Amino acid sequence: MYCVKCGVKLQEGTEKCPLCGTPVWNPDGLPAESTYSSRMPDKAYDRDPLAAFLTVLTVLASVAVSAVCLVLYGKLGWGAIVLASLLLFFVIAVLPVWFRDPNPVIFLPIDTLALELFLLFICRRTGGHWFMSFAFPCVGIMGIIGTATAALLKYLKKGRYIVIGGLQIILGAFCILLEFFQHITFDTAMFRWSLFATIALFVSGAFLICVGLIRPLREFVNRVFYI
Amino acid sequence: MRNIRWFRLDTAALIFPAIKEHNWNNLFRVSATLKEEVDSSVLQTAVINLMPRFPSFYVRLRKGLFWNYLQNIDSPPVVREDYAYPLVFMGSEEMKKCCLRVLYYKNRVAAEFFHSVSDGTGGSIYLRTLVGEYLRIKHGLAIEYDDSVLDPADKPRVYELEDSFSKNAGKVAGRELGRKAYRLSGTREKGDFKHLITAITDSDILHGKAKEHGGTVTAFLAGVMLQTIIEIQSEEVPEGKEKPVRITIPVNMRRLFGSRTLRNFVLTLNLGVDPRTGPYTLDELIGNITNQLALKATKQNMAAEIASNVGLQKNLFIRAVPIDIKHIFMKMGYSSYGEQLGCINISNLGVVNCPDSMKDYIDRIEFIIGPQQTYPNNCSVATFNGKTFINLIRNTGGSELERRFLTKLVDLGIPLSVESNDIGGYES
Repeated sequence: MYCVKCGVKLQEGTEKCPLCGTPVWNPDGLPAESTYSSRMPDKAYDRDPLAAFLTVLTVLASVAVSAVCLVLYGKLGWGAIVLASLLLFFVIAVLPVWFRDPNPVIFLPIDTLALELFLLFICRRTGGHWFMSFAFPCVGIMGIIGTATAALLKYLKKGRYIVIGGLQIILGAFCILLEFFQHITFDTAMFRWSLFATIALFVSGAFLICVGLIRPLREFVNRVFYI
Repeated sequence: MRNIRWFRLDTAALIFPAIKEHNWNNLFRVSATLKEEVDSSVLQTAVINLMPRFPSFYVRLRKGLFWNYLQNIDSPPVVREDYAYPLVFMGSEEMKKCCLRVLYYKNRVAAEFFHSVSDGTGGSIYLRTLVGEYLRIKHGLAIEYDDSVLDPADKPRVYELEDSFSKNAGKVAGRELGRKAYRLSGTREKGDFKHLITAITDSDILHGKAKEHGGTVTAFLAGVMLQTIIEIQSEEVPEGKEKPVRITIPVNMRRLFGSRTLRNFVLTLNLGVDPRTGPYTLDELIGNITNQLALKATKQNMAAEIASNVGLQKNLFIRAVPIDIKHIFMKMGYSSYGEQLGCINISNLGVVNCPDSMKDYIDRIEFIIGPQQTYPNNCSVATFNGKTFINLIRNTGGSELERRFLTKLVDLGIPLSVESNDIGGYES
């Protein structure tokens, strides 16, 4: 059998020409015989051994630190900070490995909360006064921005350039806010570094938004970077 | 010969571990379709029997402090049933076990290689020897061993394992870089799926047609491909803004330098035209490729090209840099120049021979190279027993390039049979 459009001879039973997609008349109703099997490679990557290894490692490190502190000092002391750090490491780095397809929209708020609690603990433990005026708002805002970006990138099929460009502009504005929190908490001077970062982020963010809005430019960038 | 446990990567092979990505690396396949169904247990035995004869093929990729290297493996790869598409991504975990895969499906035996191990010529010698060993075990075939099918009972020769690049580097380094070439585009298939279209034709008709147009088969196919890509570009890009259109043609340097290595010994040439200079007829394009090949694929020019690569490899300062930092710069160099100078590969393995006693059992021998990092399409050609197999692979949707290229061949009077791995239509 031949493709009436391309003029090439086709395999018996082919339903359509692989070159032009023209349907092929198959009067004898012969079944198509593929030269390749239908077997697809395993997509699933077994992460369980890695997750188990990291969990055991975290637990062993926690037990070792607790034992050393209790034997040497009779109390946890600095070991409490190490234990809190290990717990934070577990939540941020190990917990997602247990899931086959960890959703960043769920894990980023969990990570933000864990980081806030960790910083609150450190602040209390060291007698600091920086948590409410600096760490809490900064980490909270970063968590919200991160989660919103992850959600938009995950669920929006189009407009990724605009999302990433918008994120850069928001991050630029956040830099000024960050320096403001730094100023009111640690009494540092304003506008020593944030303006430079803000301008750079605004420019690159505006460029990406332009790429997202101007179709020929977007196609050019996609072609050049093979996106 | 002493028992070699590890190999330095040859000069060409060094780049492949550096540029591999989480979903792409440089693989190629050589396959033989027999006239009978493949017996997987006999094939496994043949794979085991070839281990001592091909020490540089049964290797895994290891990472040292300054360079990657290949280490011999003790247990042979397990033969597997073939997948729905060729050249399934070979991840780091797999390469740490073995850089060679042997697959079977119905009548077909295929060997897939990570390109650091060997090139098409070396790979085809391995495959033919594997098929020879399979037929010897299965049918008691007495094979007349020669350079195309090696005797598995022999010991590996020193010249088969040599790094021919280092041996044949010229005294003067020379490399020509040009303007970046036009980039074929397309929407990449989700996952790793690759579409393969195989066009089969009579090799005498193809050879005769190439001769009629004043070129070799490679130059003829490259000329038709150039014309196809020029057409596609002219529809996408405004006049005067066109980029050069070039075909990347690997040149087997074994003949030029008299090498018999089984490891990599090819260099690529990017040959083509700048469409802004005016329209070209097909004969002019074929003539252009033929002349550029004659001009550039000389021993002296290739030795200078090799010297450029070997010079970098032997530079003391570069050698002292840790491997991960080297990889960053190698990747940047490859992204900027390695793939930017061509649009598509046309890799012609040429006429693949084997002893007459084996020919009665083999229907086809094919050669397939995977898509490059940024070329969505690639083309590979092999001729066996009077038939030429043109394999066009792509990791994007849409078969426009293949349709135009192959219908041009039909229009030129070359009858083609076309097969695809995607007869039901791949749903990404």
